[in-house]
Amino acid sequence: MSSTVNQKISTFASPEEAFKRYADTVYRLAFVRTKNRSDSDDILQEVFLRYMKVWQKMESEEHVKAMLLKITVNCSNSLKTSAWFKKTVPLEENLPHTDKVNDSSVLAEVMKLPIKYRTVIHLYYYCGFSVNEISKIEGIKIATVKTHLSRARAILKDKLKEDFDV
Amino acid sequence: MFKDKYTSEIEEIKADGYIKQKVLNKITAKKKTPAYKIFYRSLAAVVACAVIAMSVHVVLKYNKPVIEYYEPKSAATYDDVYEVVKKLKAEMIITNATNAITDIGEDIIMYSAKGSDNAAAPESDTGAVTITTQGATEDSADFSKTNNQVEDVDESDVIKTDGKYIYSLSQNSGKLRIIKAGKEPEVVSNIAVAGNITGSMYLYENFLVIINCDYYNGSETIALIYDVSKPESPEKVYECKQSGSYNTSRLIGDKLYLISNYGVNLNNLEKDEPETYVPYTECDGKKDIAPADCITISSVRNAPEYTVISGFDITDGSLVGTQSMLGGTYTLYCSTDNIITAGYTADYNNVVTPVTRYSINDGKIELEATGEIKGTLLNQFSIDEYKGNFRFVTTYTESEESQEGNVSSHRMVNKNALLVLNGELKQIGAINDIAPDERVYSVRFMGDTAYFVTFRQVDPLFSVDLSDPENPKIIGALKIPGFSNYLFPYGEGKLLGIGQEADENTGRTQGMKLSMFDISNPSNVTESDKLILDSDYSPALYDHKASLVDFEKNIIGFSVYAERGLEYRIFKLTDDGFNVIQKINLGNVSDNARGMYIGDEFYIVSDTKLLVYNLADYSLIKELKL
Repeated sequence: MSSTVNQKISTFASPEEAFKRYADTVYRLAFVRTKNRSDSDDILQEVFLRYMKVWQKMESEEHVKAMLLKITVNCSNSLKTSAWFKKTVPLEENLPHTDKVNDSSVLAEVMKLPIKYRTVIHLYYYCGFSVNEISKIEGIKIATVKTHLSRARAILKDKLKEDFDV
Repeated sequence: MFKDKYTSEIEEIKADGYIKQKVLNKITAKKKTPAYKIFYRSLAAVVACAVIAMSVHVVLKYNKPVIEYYEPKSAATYDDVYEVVKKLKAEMIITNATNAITDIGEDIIMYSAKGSDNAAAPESDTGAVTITTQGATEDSADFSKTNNQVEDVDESDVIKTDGKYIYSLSQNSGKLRIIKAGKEPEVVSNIAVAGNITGSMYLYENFLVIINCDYYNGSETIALIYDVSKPESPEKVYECKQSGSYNTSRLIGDKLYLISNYGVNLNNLEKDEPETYVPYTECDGKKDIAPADCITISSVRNAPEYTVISGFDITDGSLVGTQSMLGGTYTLYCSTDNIITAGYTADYNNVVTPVTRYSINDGKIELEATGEIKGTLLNQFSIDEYKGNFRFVTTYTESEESQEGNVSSHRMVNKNALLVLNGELKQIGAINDIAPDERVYSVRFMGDTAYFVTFRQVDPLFSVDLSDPENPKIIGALKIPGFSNYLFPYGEGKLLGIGQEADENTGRTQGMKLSMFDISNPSNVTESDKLILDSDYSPALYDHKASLVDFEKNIIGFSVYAERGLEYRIFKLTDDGFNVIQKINLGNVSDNARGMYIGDEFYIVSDTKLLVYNLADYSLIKELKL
């Protein structure tokens, strides 16, 4: 690697720089997966502390983002969060308040999906990753990603009807 | 469109600004990975490599881990400092060898560091702003203060008051709001504060100090000093800066002690230019690098990172004293006379915390002693000064052998210790092997007695008799489920614990808990009252300043995240236990709300609103938008 590239990397990939740019990105994925703020706060910290062990190996901006989200997926394994132990988490406690009386929130519907489906929907539609990239982030086969995506879409199409216009 | 809708809804979910700051502080305070792990992995790779750059000969020369222990001392000259920094750089090259096989010379971690011009010595500042004593006269009301660890040592917070005005800093919006207190509250000032707000603010007489940290331009910690004699038009009068990212601070009288962590830019070392490897302070636009004899070369992990401590006079923005130490600081204790810094271990196989004692006097800072303690400290409450001695509660790990038939195995066990060190930081008393398999969750020292909580599933609240510093004794252990994160004295014979309940079998936390401990007989502590809340998260679990704990007025207040959103809850202790007096809903927001009282009114200040209540019955008087 050339020295200019190295200097650039060590600036943008550094834990502080990455945090400034991706704290919310990480938080949002953690929240989608755990459905509660308390675990998401813990995960936010854990992700960046783990990132500090690997940041020097980052090769590009895209690599940084993908790595952070990969760590987030690992940290937010449902077995380790308090929500899993409690078995249910009231959804309303954690969602932002909308002023509408008839809550046509698409986020609410996505959050009702099982964790694998809502993860892939979030990574695909919000983060904009390709199926290929999602398979690396989640550590699952591309075929599996495609299956999750198509099933999730089917459910959302059914629940949201014309609001799910993709 | 689904994508747009989803995006706009999910983007309302953000981590609390306060949480972000906490994590960012942790990141900047802990910029290192275990050296020995990377070294062994990388050694094989480096030896196999054919392409050799200039610095590789350094790697081949050292064929064992270079984790040297330097006996702490003041540097005599800048050359001494340079030699140490150069050695540390070489050690870092070894640890980064995996990433730099083809080009080791360049691939060195670039710590955030601002190059500084070699500034001339400052002249004494004669343009001091005079101190006015408004607010300290006849009709200043009785008001709540920041929940400080040590009396007369003020800690920074997002909210301060002098009884007449409330000063509130919003990290989310980057604004300072000044509100006239009383039954007719009024926002008299709402100004944007330039820079990256750390949420650290102080108020002293007519001076308001806000501490920012500039991460972009290398790292720099900046104390902005405002004159608020006219609260409706605060005027920035001084700026005091030092290199490094903000660690913590304290205000004693009119002297601000600012502590930062400064990482040197290893790509830019010039032996003859000390400003490339030595920290600086800057007052009134004039930069000064630390004098060599104010730099302690201490044992460090493989990181040329300084702890910089400076004392500034906030009434005239001048530097009174500064000390720097090669070696970062992860937690710190400050009394009226001393600062104890706790640093990182040099050897991961034997974790010890190097501790350093600086005496402080009206802004002057002197290195007095260095020592080390086994294990790590939880936070500032794990350290205490009393009658010339220093007490610490640590958690450490030890290898424990066990034999089952023919199989002998060993495992690493967590244990805890209470250590007493004298003024020279030499150990004079200790209790080891406390609560194996548990770690410390909260500590409170109270003169001759110490209380601390360890947890794995059950929470022993230990009481320790420290009346004989050389022979500390555990005199009581109360076992209850759950644990406390913070312990606060609550009047005569009582100790309040704010923490969490946990299932006795699985150890999983089950919601927040208030515990009142009866400590009138320290050898027989009981939990006299307990209340489990329907919330499992509150800033009060992570920041002692988020709680209002006032025994005299019998008020305990903090915000919690509950079903209906963020709520500020107020409790009091009665004969039948904890009573919830009020639950004030602040909406479905994520915030760092604070509660306080001034005179007969109770205030709740959040990012977006101020609520005023009658202290007597908590009836709402007014609600202001901020």
